Amino acid sequence: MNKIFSPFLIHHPFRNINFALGFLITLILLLTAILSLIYTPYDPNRMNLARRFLPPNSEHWLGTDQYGRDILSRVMRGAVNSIVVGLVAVSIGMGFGVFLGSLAAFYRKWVDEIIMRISDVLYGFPAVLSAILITSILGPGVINSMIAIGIFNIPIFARLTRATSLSIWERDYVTAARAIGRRNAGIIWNYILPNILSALIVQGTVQFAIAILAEAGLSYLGLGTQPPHPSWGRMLNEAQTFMGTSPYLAIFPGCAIALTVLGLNLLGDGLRDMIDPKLSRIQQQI
Amino acid sequence: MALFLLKRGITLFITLILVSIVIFAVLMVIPGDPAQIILGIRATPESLQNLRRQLGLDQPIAIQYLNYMRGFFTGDLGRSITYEVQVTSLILQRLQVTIPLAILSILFAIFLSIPSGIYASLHRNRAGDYGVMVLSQIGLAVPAFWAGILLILLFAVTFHWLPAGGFQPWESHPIGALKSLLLPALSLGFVRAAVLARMTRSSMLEVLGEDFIRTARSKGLPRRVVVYKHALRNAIIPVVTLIGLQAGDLLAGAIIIENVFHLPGIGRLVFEAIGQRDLPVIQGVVLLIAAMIVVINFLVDLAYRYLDPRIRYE
Repeated sequence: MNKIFSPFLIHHPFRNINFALGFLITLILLLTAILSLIYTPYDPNRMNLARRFLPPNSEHWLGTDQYGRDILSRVMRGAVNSIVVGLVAVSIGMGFGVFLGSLAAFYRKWVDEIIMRISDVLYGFPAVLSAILITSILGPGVINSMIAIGIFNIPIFARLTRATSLSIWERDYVTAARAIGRRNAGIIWNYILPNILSALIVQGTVQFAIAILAEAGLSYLGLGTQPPHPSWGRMLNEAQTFMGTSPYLAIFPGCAIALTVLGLNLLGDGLRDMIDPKLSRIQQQI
Repeated sequence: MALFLLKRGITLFITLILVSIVIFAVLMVIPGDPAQIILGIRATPESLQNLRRQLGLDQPIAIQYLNYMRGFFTGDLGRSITYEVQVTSLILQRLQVTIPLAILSILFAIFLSIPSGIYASLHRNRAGDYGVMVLSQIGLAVPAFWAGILLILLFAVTFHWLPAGGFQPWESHPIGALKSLLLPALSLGFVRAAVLARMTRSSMLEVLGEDFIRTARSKGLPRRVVVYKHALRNAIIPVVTLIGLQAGDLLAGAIIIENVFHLPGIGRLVFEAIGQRDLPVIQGVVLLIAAMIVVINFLVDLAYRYLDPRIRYE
């Protein structure tokens, strides 16, 4: 019968160094984000003009910014922002992408042709440019940046779903399910999706990392998260003005972005290596 | 070959038309009336109506689209609302920054990635390989704009070797212009190099395991010839494809980098145009970037068919 993927079925996952490191970094990020909702050393948005531009010290471990706000607290709360944007954007992309990719693989012929050609056009269009255009239409803000990043994820998941599910439609157990009269939607839900789940999870991890980078870029340009809410990209933008006098302002938010993306990339690489070494080839082809 | 070129030419044309329709439709919903923006809030309804007629904004969208595309193919993209000059000349002027920036960053990426990818593949599972892989993981994780900020911090703020931003014209200060582009190109190139190095390594490893490499080695050919003439020639094909795909991304990635370094390129132009609701400029730049990407992909397609004669012109 159909092979159902579950990360819990992988034996000794921590023997894979990529997975172990990626898992650890991602776990620390998640815990930091959760912790920041109940505790941060200082209120991330509270200004204290008497304590502006303090370099890292025992009271403010990562220093303070131009308004005297604590950088560590802002970096911690910024993690929530990045995770939420990444999760929502990937969910939008995966939800619509899997639906469209499944339609293309099931109906084939002109439905496949139309969906794939549209997704080719979207896929070929630079993601940053699309995101900037969409946020400029919808207006800057965190919700609109999630939508913008989510939209450019749709063709990626549509192409992956189509590419991986086409061959599964030809398998004997799917033919058998059809022969006993199972409905098409039931076949997709019970037979096709469980078989492509591993590919979707791996791609989802990679896209999560890309979404965090994209959000940081949009916030840097002033199109993503709006002040005073802490966002790593926005913090870098503000830091650039004071780089000559307070270079530490530009270091920590960037480290947070790079570490998060590194963790997710390693997690994705590790999962791919463990689940299906052949998958990396398919992912390179789509 | 001729049939292949014809088929690909038709596909290229259809893709361009589809892209242009999508862009035109998307930009039609951008809030803000261009006539109102030009004349300001004190404009009378009559003057607004007159200007809309003059700009062709009172015509049906389909007619506006056809007029625009006719202009695109004849090099007339309309007039910029903000700058009050022809969009074509504005774009041509800004491309003098963006095109050299894109070329320089691709060159940086190639010089950093291909030798390191080859080195890693030849020293698989040894310290050198791990070093290259760790560096490439870092390159993938670092946003280009943060790399830019760090480079400014190091080379402009600390050592004062290179400018932190701005651009000097090519005509009067060619060396200054080149200096202004070095840091932005390096920050864009470093991130691209990470992807290319990984691709070069995996592609080389795959080819080095092939039978013809074993044959070449067993014939007693020098290692240099086997690696660079036999293996690299075959391994480079997916890398060339990736370079082509990245060229498109570079043009778009330039939007953020040009803002980091205050470079007057098309990325900064379109970003400012979006803020000012300068529709003709946004349309012109976006369509041009999309057209360049489609054309680059077509050229890449031709290039790898040249590199690998086994690929048939179907």
